[in-house]
Amino acid sequence: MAGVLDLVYVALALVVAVGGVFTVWWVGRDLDDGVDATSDLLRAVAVSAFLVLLAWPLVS
Amino acid sequence: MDHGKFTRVTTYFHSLLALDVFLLFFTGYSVMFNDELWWMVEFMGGNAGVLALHRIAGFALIVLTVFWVTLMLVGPGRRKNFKAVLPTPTDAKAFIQDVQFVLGRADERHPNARQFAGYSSDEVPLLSYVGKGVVWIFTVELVLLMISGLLIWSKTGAAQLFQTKAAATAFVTFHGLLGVVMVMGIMFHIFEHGFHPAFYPVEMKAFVPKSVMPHEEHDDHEGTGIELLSLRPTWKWAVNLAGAAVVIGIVSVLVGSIFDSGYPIPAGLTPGGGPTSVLLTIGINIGMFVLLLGVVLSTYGNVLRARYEQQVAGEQDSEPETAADGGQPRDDD
Repeated sequence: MAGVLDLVYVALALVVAVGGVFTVWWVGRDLDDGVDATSDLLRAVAVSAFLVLLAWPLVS
Repeated sequence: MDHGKFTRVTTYFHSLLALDVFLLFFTGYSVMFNDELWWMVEFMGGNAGVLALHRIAGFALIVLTVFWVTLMLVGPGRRKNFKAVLPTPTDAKAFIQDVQFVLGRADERHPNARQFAGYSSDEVPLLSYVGKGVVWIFTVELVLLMISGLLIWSKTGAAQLFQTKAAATAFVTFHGLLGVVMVMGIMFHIFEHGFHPAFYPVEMKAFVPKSVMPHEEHDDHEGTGIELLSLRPTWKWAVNLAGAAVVIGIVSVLVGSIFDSGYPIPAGLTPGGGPTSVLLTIGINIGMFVLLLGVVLSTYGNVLRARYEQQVAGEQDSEPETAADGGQPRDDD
């Protein structure tokens, strides 16, 4: 039961964080604000990868 | 720019409260995440030193709260300001319209959502519904943290008060986890007010009192003056770095609170077993870096305020005296 709760909590934190990061990229990708959408996407991927690698050893 | 809202005493209170809350976070988290923040524990004098500092800062928080509540009750005009902070049904409408605006189903944001750019102070409320949310969420969290903190001031005393060790432990756990919840809001608060493109690197509303906030007229063009601001070239990389640090810091502290089984969360109450990892250690330390950034920005805001007030005083001293009829004074001879 405790293991399942671990997974649920961590999955929730990851979904909110990674979802938020990619939502920001998605909303701003067409804006003419001088920010390159591709490098924004790469940053979102890097942050997401860090978070997944951070959580993975703890739940696996 | 014309969006000064804080009185002088509010700016001082905000800065003192921020410093005190940051000290509470640094001491509280170094105890909670002592595996990942071992260096912070050592830096503040070990476990005994950290806990002593935490209690001193907690006492200071109570003193600040008593001062503020008294001021709200007896200070001139404070009751009117208090009413302006109360949530209204219009705030709920503003929230719904904001969601519609983000989804492209509303042409503009609701007046109760206006806080920054593009409006004069006459057009926006004292606090947007977001500002009210910040005030109330932080207030409720701090009150609950103070109450639970007082109840667990002495572990043996708490156990005697609650009769059972389990009940006392529950309060300790509540105190620790509520601190984790609050840090999310604090990190967003730092990011929102430190990295807004119009105000980066720090929004001066919280530091320059409204009585000395410049209210320049821009007769030669339409607008409030925000069009005259230019974005600092460092904003792009700074906002990306700070944004990533905030997301990583929040997730790391959340994940750490699930798995860490040290004080204040006993192993028996945590779902996890207390493992840690190198990346979790880095992530939690990044979270502490965001809090440190908050201290730096708060200090920087006060330095800018002091410089600005000095500049205004210098300009007033150098201005020639004005005669009663508005003309230049001259000697009778």
